[in-house]
Amino acid sequence: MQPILKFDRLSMRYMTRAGQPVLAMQDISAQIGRDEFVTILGPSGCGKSTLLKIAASVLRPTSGEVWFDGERLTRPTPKIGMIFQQPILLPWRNVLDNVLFPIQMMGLSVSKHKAAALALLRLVGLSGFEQAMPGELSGGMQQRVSICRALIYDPTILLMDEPFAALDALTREELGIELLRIWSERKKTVLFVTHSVQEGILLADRVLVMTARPGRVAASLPIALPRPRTVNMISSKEYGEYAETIRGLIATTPPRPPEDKP
Amino acid sequence: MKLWLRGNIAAALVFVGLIVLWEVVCRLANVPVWLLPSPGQIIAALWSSKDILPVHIFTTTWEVLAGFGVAVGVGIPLSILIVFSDFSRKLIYPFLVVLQSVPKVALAPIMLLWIGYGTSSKILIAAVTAFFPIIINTSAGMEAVPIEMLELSRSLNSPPLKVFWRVRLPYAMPYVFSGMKVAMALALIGAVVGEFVGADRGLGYLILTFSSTMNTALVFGAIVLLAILGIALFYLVTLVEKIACPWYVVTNKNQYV
Repeated sequence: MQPILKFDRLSMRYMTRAGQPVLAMQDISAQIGRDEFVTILGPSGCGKSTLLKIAASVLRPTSGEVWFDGERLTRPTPKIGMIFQQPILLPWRNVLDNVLFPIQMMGLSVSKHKAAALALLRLVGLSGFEQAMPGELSGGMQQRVSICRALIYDPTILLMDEPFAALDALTREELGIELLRIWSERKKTVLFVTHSVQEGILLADRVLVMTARPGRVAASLPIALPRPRTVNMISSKEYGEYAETIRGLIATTPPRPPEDKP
Repeated sequence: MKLWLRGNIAAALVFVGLIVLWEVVCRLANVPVWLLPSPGQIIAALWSSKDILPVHIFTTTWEVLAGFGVAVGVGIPLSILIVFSDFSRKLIYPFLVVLQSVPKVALAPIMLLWIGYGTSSKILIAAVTAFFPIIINTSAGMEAVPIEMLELSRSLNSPPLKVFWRVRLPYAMPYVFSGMKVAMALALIGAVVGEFVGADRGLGYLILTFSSTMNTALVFGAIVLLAILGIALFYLVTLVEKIACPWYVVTNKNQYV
């Protein structure tokens, strides 16, 4: 099967303020299958977020190419949706209008999508909060709204950059399981960046483990846990083995100096 | 809430107390009215000249509002240029820096020389004085949009004008308003300075005229009127802010609860 998203030898080099070149990621190649849920796991500063920005085409790699659905990706497209660590809702718009924001920006009919927006809010358990302002919602609820905002224009791929990292542990687990439910209901390809091993395993069909800077793909690990996943699976033997493998991969990658000496 | 109310009452009491103290000191020490008029004498002086005051109050108010309007009308489009085009940023910024380092009141005599004795020179001085906080705050506000929001907008292929109108401008509004509050106060200073340099009406003109005739009570009276005008204009901006960006006022309040 043709992959929906393909990274072809991506490298990213940038200059520090002192004028030192830094190699943030090196030679990353990976393929993401259609409807696959892939998590990217790695230590902080390994270029996970950079990779996601390149996948969204809002950042250009120093070298390498991104292929989306058989075509080379050169500019951002609404077929690739984004969810960030912060919900980034517009504080002057109520929940419903925030969900409809992409529709408005794309120049589509807002009234035609209203029913879809209401259905999405129902899907994430926010019925009755349509008229609430973002400032009145908890962090978890705001992030649910931002998930709806990403789903309303029905992108093929969802890029999620540590979307639950700013939430408390309980809300985080709850939202993870909920994301899986949404994902199974509206089939999507998901690329999910996290630095939590538990989240990385529990959500994924496959985990891409990245090394510390310069970021590389150390392993691509299929997760064969049965679906639907539950939080209780973290006490299973298989989960333990996966976690051990991943921790081992991250620990054995040789630490590198942050600066890339020429 | 109770604490807030108690604070306000305390402030009002201290204020009234100071005025009473002022009155008492003036009477007991027999301070001459040309040196320091008592509050009672100031009010009496204002009352006795109530027929001549309205035209001066109106003139200064008009100068401040018009000057403020010009500052907003020029400042906001300029900040938009600065934020949206690197070329115009590089073009405009050096001039801003130069203009900012000149004390604006020092320009007042030249403005009078150029455009005359009338209200338009005061409007211009008020505008030039009020201009900077508008342009600085507006540009800062439009840059304050979270980068992710701009990335999201870009991924949706949003037209730049829509991004400006739906995202950047609303994000900038609270900044614009805090700039406007400072600008309004500066516009009042600008207008009064303009009247000092040369005018035939306005509260600044009154202060100058009455102090030259040792009518200190009316000088104080004009100052009181200027203070009231300044407070009123400040609350006018606050009121417009509450109407224009209620979400900001609400989120702000939550931080103090």
